[in-house]
Amino acid sequence: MGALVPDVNQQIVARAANVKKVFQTAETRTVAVDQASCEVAIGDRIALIGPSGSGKSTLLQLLGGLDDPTEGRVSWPLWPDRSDLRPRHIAFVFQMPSLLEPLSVLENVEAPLLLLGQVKDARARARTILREVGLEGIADKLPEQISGGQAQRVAFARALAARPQLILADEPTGQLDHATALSFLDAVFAALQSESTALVVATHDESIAGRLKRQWHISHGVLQAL
Amino acid sequence: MLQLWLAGLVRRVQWRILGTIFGVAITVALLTSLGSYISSSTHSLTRRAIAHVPVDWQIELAPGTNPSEVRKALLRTTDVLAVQLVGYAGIAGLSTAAHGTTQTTASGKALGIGSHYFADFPSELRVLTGSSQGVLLMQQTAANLHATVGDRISLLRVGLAPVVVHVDGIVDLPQADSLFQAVGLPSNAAPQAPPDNVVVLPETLWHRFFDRQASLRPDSVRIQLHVRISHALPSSPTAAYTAVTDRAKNLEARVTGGATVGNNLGAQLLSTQADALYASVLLWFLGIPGATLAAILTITIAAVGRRRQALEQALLRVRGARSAQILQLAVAEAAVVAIGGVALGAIAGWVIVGALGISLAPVWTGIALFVGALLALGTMIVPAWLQSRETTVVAARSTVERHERSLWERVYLDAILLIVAAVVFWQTANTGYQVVVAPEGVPQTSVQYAVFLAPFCLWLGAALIALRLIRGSLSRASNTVTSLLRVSAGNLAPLVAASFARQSHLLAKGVVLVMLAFSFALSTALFNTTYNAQSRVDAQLTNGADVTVQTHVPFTSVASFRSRLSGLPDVRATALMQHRLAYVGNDLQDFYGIDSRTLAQATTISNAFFANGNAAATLNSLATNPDGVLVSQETATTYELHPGDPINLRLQWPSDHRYHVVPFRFLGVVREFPTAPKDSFIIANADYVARTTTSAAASIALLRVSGSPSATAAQARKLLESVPGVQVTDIETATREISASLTSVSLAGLTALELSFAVVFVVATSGLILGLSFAERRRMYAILCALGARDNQLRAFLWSEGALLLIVGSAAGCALGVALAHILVAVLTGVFDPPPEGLAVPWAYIAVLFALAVAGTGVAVGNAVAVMKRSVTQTIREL
Repeated sequence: MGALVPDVNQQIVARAANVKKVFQTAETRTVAVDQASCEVAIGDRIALIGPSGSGKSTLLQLLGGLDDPTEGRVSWPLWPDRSDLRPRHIAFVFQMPSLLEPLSVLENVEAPLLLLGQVKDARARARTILREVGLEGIADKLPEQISGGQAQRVAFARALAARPQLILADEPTGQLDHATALSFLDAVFAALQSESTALVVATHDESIAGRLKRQWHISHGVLQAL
Repeated sequence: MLQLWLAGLVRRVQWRILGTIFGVAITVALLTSLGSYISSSTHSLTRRAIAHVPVDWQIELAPGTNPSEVRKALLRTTDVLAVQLVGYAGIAGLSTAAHGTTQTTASGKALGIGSHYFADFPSELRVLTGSSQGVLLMQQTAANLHATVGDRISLLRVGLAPVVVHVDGIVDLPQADSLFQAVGLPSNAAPQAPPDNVVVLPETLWHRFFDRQASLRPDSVRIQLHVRISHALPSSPTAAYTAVTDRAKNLEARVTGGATVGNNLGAQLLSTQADALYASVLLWFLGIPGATLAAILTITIAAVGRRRQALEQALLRVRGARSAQILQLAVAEAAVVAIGGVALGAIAGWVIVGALGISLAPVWTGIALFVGALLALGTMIVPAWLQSRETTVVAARSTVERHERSLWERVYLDAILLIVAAVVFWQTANTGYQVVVAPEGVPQTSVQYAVFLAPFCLWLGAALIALRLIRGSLSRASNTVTSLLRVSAGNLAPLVAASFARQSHLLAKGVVLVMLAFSFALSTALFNTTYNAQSRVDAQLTNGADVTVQTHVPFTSVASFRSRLSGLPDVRATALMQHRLAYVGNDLQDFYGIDSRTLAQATTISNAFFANGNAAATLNSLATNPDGVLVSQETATTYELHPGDPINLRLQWPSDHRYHVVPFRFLGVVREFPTAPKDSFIIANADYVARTTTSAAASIALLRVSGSPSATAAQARKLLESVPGVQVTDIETATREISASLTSVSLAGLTALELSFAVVFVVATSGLILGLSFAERRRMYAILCALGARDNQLRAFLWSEGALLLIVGSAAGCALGVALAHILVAVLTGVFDPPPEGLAVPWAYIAVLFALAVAGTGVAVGNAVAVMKRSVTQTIREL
């Protein structure tokens, strides 16, 4: 795809420039992301659409600094210190249950704040967020004691805890039925309404993608912005 | 399917499979090497015990029996290496006239021996001075008669005129008790004291003097055949005893009342039975905890991957696999572990046994292989079978424990076991029991297995109570736990505490495993070090000091004697002792004159030597009371002595060779003393003895050396080679030659074996278990990484767990190890002679052990962090 034309008036939180990611083993060589360039600005709501194995997760991981590209460059213009990206500026929500199983719902939401050293306010902030997303009733439950939909909402609440400016959600509704998925997205948008947080959601569900302002399509590692 | 499954296992969970193989291999290697060591030790104990029997059989001929007939029957009964005819004749006494006085002794014995007797039975007679041929006078008799080589003495025959002979040599009879035993008495008969006066004559002379006496007074003369038989006997003392006794009975049956066998070899084997049992008890006492720990380690390693196994099985069930098919996969996995573990363990066992210089015991190897295979199959198939019946995918995925209180918790089995341990130990330690019982007159020994109850209950009770307490402490995630965790986890302490609380059962098991590994290492190290130190004390007690010089003729020039010996290289201290004979009433006892102020510089004086348990106070009391004397418990009891009581002894004065009364004052009871015999003896101040007997002559020198005792002994021999009757011994040789006691069982090999395994256990529990546990929970750590945990935060999380295992496990393990070592020493007190005053601590080993445990934990944590950083996206993809 051609390079995106950046809007100079927007503040860019993540930028990928000609990024390529290759997974190589002794027998196989897989190009997961091929020459992708894109930018995420503050307040963006982006759907990353593509079939399974198209490279969505890999691109999100590259944008979130979880992995390094084989070629090209990923940068975060607002945050030069890469070691400080997560959880202060960027948060992930995964497709599969990703809660820390030995910890309660409240402790899971508290975790990013403790990683940031915000010990004093952590518990209060975690309770506030849980209340905002309507989960205060399950605060003391363990992940295995709640439903899949609740677990994803807790994971989203955890992503919000440190007030990041970019949330990367990798098929967060992949394990949910359609109605629950829509309800989950409603909760997400409601929580983000007053925030300038950018959101990139990887999905293969067009109806979910349609609820986000921008769409990127990826197929066989090749990214196309619509 | 099977191949696919196994290939998948090798690709994905190779560390868990290798870990379990490692656990099985340790168990097999430990059992193989330990069993082979026990087998070899028993064999060696038997071999060494019988090697020093001076005369295997003393066959006493009935009056009128033809010795040739018995000799023929003997040759048909067993393999004979040497036979000598020995005559025993009772004599009314011996007398001599010297220095204008006539000395006459009480009754005694005249032995008649052949010219090859010295060669065939070298340890029966020891020449102190003069010739080994001709007329030989026993040392004590020579002292009584004031006779020496060249003197004429009269033998006062029974019912015949005295005969006069010239003394050709002075000898010592180290085995007098067995030499003069009354053959044929029942085994429960009271032992008979050997005669005080003995003269040894050449066979022809003896016959010339006593054949007539045998006709006149047949009750005063007897004939024995002294026999050395082949020692090709079974390795077990019990089997060897049975074999030797059967042969003796066979001989007696062949000669139908013509002879009775005094079975010294059988008696030695009988006493060795107890030693062998002690040895077995000792080795098992030290070895069983190791083998148990190895098995627990294997089970724990296998259990680390149980969650994953349960998940995989549940998924297979969802996809329609039957229980039988799932079990088939588990059996295949177990077979891989069993074959790998058993093969690796057998090779390791073979290498270890080779390194110890012993041979592989086939029976033990078979047992070890069987146990290893059983362990592998049991630890992998049984849980798989249980899981195949119960687990759902959701339940299998859970990492949070649903722990219900076990039966042992509900009935407080831990507390009950500890109480039982305390009561049993208190009862057994205070009632003078013996682990190995050898009832008088019964040719069997047995082990009181009840004494094992105390350490066993302590071991199990401590493990269970630690499990309860640690889990209880962690599960509450209390402020105290959180505060403590701040040291390692900093801001993450609340999270770590919460995580610990939800996994308290798993963590508590890890801590208890580390605790058991440390307790095994420490109890083994403490016991073995104490044992080895005590073996040296035993050898020092037997030898007297590092190097001991004893002379038949006392040195009158004491200062010269001391300075010559002190001038030898490596000699750090020298102490001289007088050795005399003294009468206590009618009982002749060994008497030692010492300098109580300087003696301890030259040798080790143990508290256990004295009834009051205080060597320093006793020697000080002797130093401040010039006429003070220490006697045996038997003497003190017989004469109803109390501290401060006057006691008159009759000591021999060198000037007139007569015994004169010397007044002493009783200070206390002495049980053992360097160079002194095991039975009664007397200790007094050398200065007082010198003053009252007008002679300071000393005949024993004790040397403490800084170099090799045997090298100094060789130099001392060279220095004193011109002095007749000098005997120089060293502690190294004495240690090797102690063959009749259990302390001759060298623990050196076992110590090396056990301490090496203990190190492996500690590193495995602190490092391997932790590493495997981290690997199994990498999903959680990957999520933490994805959330943004930095390296130091991840490390803090991991180190908190490592520190919990290491600090709590090692502290509890050390406490349990010390307690077990104390119990072992108390329970096996019969092993020690004298008993130890305290535990000897191998600080260097303990330091190395801790360093390795910390290193093991560090490697596990470092590796987990590195792996997580390398593969976080891969792990996340697996979420």
